[in-house]
Amino acid sequence: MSGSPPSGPRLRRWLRLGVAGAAQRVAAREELGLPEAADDRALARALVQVTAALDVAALDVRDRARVDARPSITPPPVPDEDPSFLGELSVSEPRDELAQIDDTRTLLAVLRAGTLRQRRAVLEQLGEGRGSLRSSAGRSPREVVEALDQLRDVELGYELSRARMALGGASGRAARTEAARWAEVAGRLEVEIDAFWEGSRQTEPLVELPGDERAQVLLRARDWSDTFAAHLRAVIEGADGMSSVEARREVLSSLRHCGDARLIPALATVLRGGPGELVGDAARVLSSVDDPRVQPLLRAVFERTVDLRPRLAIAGALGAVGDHRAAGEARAMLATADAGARLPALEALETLGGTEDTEAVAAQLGDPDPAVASQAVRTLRRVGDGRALEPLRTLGAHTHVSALRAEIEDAVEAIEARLDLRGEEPPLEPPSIPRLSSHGPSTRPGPRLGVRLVAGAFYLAGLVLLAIGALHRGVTLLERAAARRARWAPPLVAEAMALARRQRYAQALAAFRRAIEADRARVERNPVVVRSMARCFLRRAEEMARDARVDVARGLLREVLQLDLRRAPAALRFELERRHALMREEPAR
Amino acid sequence: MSDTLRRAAERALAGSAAGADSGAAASIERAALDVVVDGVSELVTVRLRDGVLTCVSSDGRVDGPHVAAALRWVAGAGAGAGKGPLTRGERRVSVTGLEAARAPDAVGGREGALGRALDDLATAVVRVGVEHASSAPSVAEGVAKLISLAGTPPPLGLQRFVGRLRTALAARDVRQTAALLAGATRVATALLERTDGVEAAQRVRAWLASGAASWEQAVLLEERVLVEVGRQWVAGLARAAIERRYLIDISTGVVYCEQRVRGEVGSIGPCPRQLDVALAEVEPGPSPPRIRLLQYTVSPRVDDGAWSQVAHVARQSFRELARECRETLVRFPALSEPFAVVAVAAIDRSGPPVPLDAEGLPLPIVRAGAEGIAEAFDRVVSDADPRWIAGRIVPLGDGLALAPFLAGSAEGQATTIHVLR
Repeated sequence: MSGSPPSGPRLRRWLRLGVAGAAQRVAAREELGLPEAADDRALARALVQVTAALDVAALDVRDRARVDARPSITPPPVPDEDPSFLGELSVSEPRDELAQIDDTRTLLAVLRAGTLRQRRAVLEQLGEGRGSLRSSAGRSPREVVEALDQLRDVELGYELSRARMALGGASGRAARTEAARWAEVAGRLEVEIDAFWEGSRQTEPLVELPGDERAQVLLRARDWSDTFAAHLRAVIEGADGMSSVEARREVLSSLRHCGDARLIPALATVLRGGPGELVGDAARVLSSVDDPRVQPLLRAVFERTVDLRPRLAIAGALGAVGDHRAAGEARAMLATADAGARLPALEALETLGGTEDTEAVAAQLGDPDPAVASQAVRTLRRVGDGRALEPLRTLGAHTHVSALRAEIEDAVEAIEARLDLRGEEPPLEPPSIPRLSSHGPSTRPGPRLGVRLVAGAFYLAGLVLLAIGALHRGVTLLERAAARRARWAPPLVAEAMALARRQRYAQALAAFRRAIEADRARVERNPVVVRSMARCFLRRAEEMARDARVDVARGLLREVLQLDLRRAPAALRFELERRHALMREEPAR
Repeated sequence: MSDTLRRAAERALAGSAAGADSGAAASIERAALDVVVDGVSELVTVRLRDGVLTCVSSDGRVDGPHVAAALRWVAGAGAGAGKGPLTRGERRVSVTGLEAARAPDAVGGREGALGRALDDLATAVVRVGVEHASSAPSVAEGVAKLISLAGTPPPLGLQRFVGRLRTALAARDVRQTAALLAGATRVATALLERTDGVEAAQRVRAWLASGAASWEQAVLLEERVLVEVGRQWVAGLARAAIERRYLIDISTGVVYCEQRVRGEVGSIGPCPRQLDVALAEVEPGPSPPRIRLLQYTVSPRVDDGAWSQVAHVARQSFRELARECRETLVRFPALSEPFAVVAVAAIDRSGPPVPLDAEGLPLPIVRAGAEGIAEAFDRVVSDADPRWIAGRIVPLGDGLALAPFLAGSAEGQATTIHVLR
């Protein structure tokens, strides 16, 4: 029997390798001071208890600073395979490299064609007034102002609003006014949140908010208080004691572009533990957040997720943070005959796809499902291959859907910007699609002067009556104006907007539809009208959905999403698309 | 096959008083045989359970030559193969030569079965070694046996033990495995030997009590303000099966743990949150003690005064914290998972940031694991100096480390909270 105290390293070695052999057992008994007759149970007990006791006795803090030397296995960023200037922009810190660039044209091209991080970095630079995006007089070059005015990228909604706030002139004032408005809404919401937790409010305030307002508020979540963020976490996790899975999904899908790192713990809870219906949306929200916890979390969850849709959503999110492990899987899904797999596969290829996917994605442009065709356009935009220009232009020349043509325009612009950054030139252009963004006059022959004067008089009189609150008589005169002068939209637009302001959405819808029939381009060119019209469709769809008339609501959303909504606020467009995507997944009734 | 053992036993019996015994009735339930085949020694366990014979060798095989030899020997077909069944005397000799079952300590019922199952599991792991235990059938069988005896649903403590053991074995963590099995064998002792004492009773209750029984010895807590400073899902029988919410009493600095199994209804509110508790129950036991909130109001808005109190009651001395950790791990080596809010006097930024207490002692941040938490902490520290950090205190070799959950930094009179996990 050994007379010296047991040795911790020796005991741990036996525990690590086992004591199955007779010689090992003898030696272990001796080390532990056990009799030879001690059975295996006694040996096991003694070995683990003595080892544990020695380990605990040795535990202490040490004088010298000690660091956990075990590797933190966060993977390094995946380098972009693109050898050009755009690919060389650092994946991890694009803002440092972009700050060195003086050429405004190059920066604006990155703003159109870069990855999400690169585009954000350009806008942050602008918002902080750094670099060449400010002239020596402290004003942004005109081309920068115009580019920001025209940019409708909902992914960049937050950064765009901050960049616009930093502008001078009318654009900057408008952006600051809007920001103040949403800050006020968030402040009121916070009061409602406090009331909710105090028990004096019976319903969760976020879900009750109109969809487009919720989209705007949550887009700016990073600006709101920690209490607001904590409430969001509670709703996401289902720890508010009230929200159903559907309500949680509403909030999660509205948070898609928020980029708020404070939500990561709650998103992790959903990703790891479900419910399954929320996993895809949680992954999409995570992909918008720039934080070291995102990629390890997505990787771990991806390995354990089997269901197709959430798995592809996670794959796309991984692609957004530079991890392309699932690219092959997304390609394989796109190649299957499963119609239900095409849309999620195309979405994943937005971040995972490369130039080798151009043909396969372009083949989806002819899909009869407008959602698939639209997603294919967006994916081609992000892939940025010049070979996609011809099929895109061909589709643009033949489609009658305004929204699709608008997306194609944006995609062509982005691809051309990418080619510019790569030093390439686009292939020779076939006859281009008529650009909806042009401001040229209508080519139809006008009515006679007498007709115009009479219609104009009715129109002005109608506006005056509306202004003094005489809705019915004002509408009557506007109807007469429209009847006098065929295919003249302004009276119908005025009628529609008056009704929409009074929340008579069903009647306003009819007037908006007639205005579109009369002169679609005029309606789609006017930002104020487009905003009001889009909101009207959304409100009416919400009313229908509340009445359980989901098919009608779905149809309304589908109808408005076929229009060119580029002049509507990005958050409003996002809410329409979000709600439509959710309704598409509901079973037909 | 050699009958050397049997002949030696016969000689021993012939020369001892035990040989004159008429053979009092004894129930042999398990036999462990040291079998040598072709110079290779393996330990074979033969057991009859519920009418089913199981036989497994320490090399993990159930059908190898060692198992076959053991079965032949137990069946009485050893050196005397072909002579017919063993005589009563031979049978008695063959039994007493083996490791006897625990006839004196054959505590009946569920408790006894659980105690033996815990012992068996520890023995199985020790035999095959931590290096191979995660894939050893004997260990898997031991875990399955334990779960089957534990009832439906199994008690939370036992679920957590299983989760931690699986994690430790998968990671080949020898120290952690030793601690877990030390706790398991101490519970086995308490069950099988009916150990008296408050601590033994607490231990058994922490492991095996469920439902109302788990709160039998609870202490009431009244009129307290608690702040939640951490929340996580930990492994039980499945991954992410148990939710833990760590609540600090801002008047005493004691950290409690609210636990629930997935699917159970828990208290409402996000992390962090402020709880004005009118009534709660606290079950003394492993650290942190479990709490059940009975009457409370909750708010996601934790005011600056409460955060200042958290900073005030945070643990100032890392050495004292280490002493308390040692104490709780001695008492509950398997189920204690200390959680603390530590005050940070400074940050050592000579390498990866390390929090220091007022004496300059370090408490390193856990960096292993692909979660990115350490990097997120580095980001926080690059912009601000945290005044306090809430997190799990985990052994790191022969030292301690901090797995951070929440950090608080001061900006004037206000506190900025960084939620890391």
